[in-house]
Amino acid sequence: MASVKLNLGYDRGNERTNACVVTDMNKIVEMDMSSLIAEGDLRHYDAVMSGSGVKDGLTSTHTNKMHLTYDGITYFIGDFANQGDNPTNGFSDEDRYQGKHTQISLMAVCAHLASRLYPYQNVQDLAVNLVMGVPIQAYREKAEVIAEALRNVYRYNYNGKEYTLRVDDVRVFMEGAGAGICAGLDSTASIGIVDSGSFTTNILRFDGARPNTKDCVSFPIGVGTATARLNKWFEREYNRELSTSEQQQILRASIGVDPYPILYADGREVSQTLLSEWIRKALNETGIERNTRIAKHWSKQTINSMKSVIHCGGGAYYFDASLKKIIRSTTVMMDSEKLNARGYAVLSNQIAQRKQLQKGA
Amino acid sequence: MRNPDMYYYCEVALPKGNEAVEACVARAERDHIPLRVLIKEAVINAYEDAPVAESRVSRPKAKRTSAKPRAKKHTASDSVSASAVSSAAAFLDDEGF
Repeated sequence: MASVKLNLGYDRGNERTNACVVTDMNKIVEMDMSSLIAEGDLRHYDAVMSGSGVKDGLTSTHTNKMHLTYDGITYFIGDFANQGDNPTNGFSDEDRYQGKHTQISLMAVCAHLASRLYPYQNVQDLAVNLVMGVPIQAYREKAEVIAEALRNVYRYNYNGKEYTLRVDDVRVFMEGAGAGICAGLDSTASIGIVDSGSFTTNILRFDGARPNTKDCVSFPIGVGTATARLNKWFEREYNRELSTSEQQQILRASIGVDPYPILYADGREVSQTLLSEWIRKALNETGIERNTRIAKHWSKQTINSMKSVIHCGGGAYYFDASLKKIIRSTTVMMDSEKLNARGYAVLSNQIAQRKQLQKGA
Repeated sequence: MRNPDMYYYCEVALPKGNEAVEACVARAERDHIPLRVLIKEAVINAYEDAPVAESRVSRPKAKRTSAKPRAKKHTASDSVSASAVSSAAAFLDDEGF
């Protein structure tokens, strides 16, 4: 049984979780999954799939079947959580960054990445140096508490294989810092980061490599704020709510990635014109709300003094047009939703190398 | 989320019995890696060694709206850039690591 060490960058968003490892060859190996986790019964699920049981809402196809058993409880993870009981992203839990939800997610991520990095070795013994980001408020109030809670040894079964995971070292930084590092800080200038998430927006300013904490703030407005508006108008018109999947399809259609979905409510087809009008209005109103909050913390003087402003996170695709109304020079990087995890992975790698050098000195 | 202006999409049929294909399928099942990921890696790696025969490709016709941001390209999207490494070093120096 092989034993490996992972230098992991971990970005646990409220909607999506991104994780990344940088290999010895400087290649990025990463994963992106839904942040949903649910308790599940694998035997019941398998029985249903083989046609001998019945469950409401169970679909006949699934993509990634990620399941994990820890402390006697089985969890369905990512998209597969929709096949379990009460899937949740843990958003309502104040301690979500160090609680059971994050621990389960970490165990799954580490096992999954290890199997991809070492496909021909029977890797079951993992040690992790973890770098993760949390909203600025959580960073200021409980970075050490989060780190302490996650440092542990976990024994679990992931997708039928037994694992032992030792989380040795945990460093917690501000959300957005990873994206700044990935995009490249400038030692002689100030850079701004606007990290647009599903429920939170973080804004940071780096003067060289140093975060200017006075200009670093987070507030609870995100893509989810816009979809909540959309959902309210939809329910008022059609007497039903939009599912999470329908909301995502409408969002993607609003930026031209996919066509608008064909939906039905109470036997009638939903107007795609209305969907288009509503989502644009929702993103516009939410964008204005965000801009008002950003302008409250970053004056025109502050914005003009920055060399550039990186707009990252999954929300960047939807809010960049509105953000440009107050910050003309924003840049949306490719794979914007993955930048934080990549930056944290680079940090984790470097921390591990420095520790190694210190040991050798 | 994939920007359709940045990626090619193509349909490809994989012949059963082909050694390389069977190896990918076996690995996908054993290690729970999506088959499309392994095939993509195999194609890219093979191209680096030898030219790949042109296959039928089609780009999805996604309507571009003015609201869609133009993404800045990395020079190599699956490797860490030198600027990221130096930024991380400077950040850690400042944090006192």
